[in-house]
Formats: sequence, C-alpha cells, structure tokens
Amino acid sequence: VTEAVRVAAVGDVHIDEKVAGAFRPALLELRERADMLLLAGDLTRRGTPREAEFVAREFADLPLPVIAVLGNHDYHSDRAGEVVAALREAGLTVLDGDGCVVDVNGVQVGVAGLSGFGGGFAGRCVSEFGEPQTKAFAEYGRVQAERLEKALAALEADLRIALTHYAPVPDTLVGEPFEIYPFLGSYLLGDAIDRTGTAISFHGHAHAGSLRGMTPGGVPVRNVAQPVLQAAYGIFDVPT
Amino acid sequence: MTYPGPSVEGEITHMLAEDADIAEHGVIVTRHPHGVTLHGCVNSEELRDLIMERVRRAYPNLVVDSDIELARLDPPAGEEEL
Repeated sequence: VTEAVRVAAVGDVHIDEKVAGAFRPALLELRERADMLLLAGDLTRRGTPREAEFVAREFADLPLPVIAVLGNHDYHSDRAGEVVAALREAGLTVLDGDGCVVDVNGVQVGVAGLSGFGGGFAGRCVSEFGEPQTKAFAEYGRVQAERLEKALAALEADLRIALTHYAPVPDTLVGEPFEIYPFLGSYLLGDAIDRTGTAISFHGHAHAGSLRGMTPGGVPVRNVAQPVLQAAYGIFDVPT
Repeated sequence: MTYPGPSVEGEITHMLAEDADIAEHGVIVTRHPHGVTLHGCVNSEELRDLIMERVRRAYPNLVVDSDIELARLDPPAGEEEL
C-alpha cells in the first residue's frame, strides 16, 4: 500500500484556439510523476463546444485518470452540457456534485467536486435577504456547498479530496483585490470540507491569489489556478 | 494625453470580460496620472496583444501601459510534500 498519493492539479487553463496544444508536452511527462490529474475548472475561455473539443484533445489519452469540474468560463455560453459531453467522450471524468474513486496502489482515493460559487467569507458574506436577485445569488452558493458536502460524505474511500473552481477559504485569495472576494469563493464550501473528513482541497479561479491556505478545521487548501502555479500543473504528495 | 476619467478602471474591466474575443477576468487595471496600467498573466502572446490593442483603441487619449505577463507552461520542477 502506497504511503502517499501523488496528485497533479491545475485550473484556469482557458484553452481556446490560441493555446491549443500548449499544455500537451508537459502533460505527457505525467506518466512518471503523478497518480491522477485534477482540473479545477475554467477549462475553456468562453464555454463553447468548439473550445471543449480543444480541451478534450489536450487532456485525452493521458496515462492517468483525469478528473475535472467546470468553472464560470465554462458556463458562459450556456452550453455546459455540450462541454461536459465532449470532455466525457474524451475519457475525462467530470464532476458536478458527485464523486469518483480511484485505486492508487491499493489506496482508495475519492474525489468529489463541483464548480462551487461565490458569496464571501465568514462575517463578510451575502445572505438570503432582500431583492430576489440577491436571494438567488446567496441561495445558489449555499446549495453548491450542500451538494459538495453530500458528495464528499458519500465517498467510500480511504482518502477524500475536494475539487472546486471557487475558493473555500480566503487565505488563497491573498493578492486579489479584497473587494472581489465575495465573487471568488464562499466559506460555506470550507465548512462542507471540514465536516467530511477531507484530506485536501484544490480550487482555481483566483489568478492573482496565493497557493497555500487552510480551512478553519485544518484541511490544507491549494489554489492551483495556472497563473498562480506558473507551471503547466502542480504536483502534491498527499499522505495516505 | 488626458487625465483618466473617474471610472476608467471599471470600464476597462467590463470591456475585457465582455469582449467576446477576449473574455478575460484576470487583468487588474490601475491608474497613473496620464493613463492606466494593465496587470496580470495571460496564456498567449496573441491574447496579450489583443487586449492592449483593444484598450488602446478604446482610449486613444490615454497612455495604456502593459504589465501583463505570459503564463509559463513548463512541467513543475518539483513536488510539494504535504
């Protein structure tokens, strides 16, 4: 049984015709370096089926499981269903409030995820009060967190990993303008992670944020937005 | 050269996000006495050039400086042990 699971992760690759193929050389090195690759949303720039085809080609036929969630850019063209279908057709696992389990040398590694949403952080967050639009914004964030918690709790695994696009803690947003934190994540996601015995959480979305953070319950959080990593992906050894 | 208007940072932020050819949220706009500087990181030179061209065309009387870096897409040098 392995003592650590090696997780490669990146978000915000924003693949379109301008960058198609640019990640591929680095991805082909993953065979020797990681047990799985997690994609933390914003895989496309505008969320079009054409861009999804570029993403599918970029991440197809890699020698390890590829597990993804969508990000806000992937929803922009209102064609997320077609985006997901193209990625699944290429062999990627796309999570949206559900999970999957990967056997890594005898260790059952569960990954649960979804895009998540904004709403802000404890003491500085939106509430379900006021105009219908404000209530809808707050409610959507709450429901996303509830779905994440349910998916994490349902994993029958030795190790649980959370994968979102939006941030579950403010630590990994340091570097972003403070005023936009409510649009970058929600503390409700962090609460969901803390309540489910999760080992580590990965997210993207905050291009100018920071790599490392921690939930109030002590779960490590990593912002793997590609501009933060300044590499094609990051690799993290997660003890089992 | 013209002193930038009071909402120029917001106007450019909206423009970069909503321009269908750009769709970029990761660029931060700051002002200086004669214009603005765009900061951030994008993943292609073509996109960086397009951003600068569109902003300069929209604000011909402002000095528009670029502090936009290009993303590095090499494999990482090492791993983080948690």
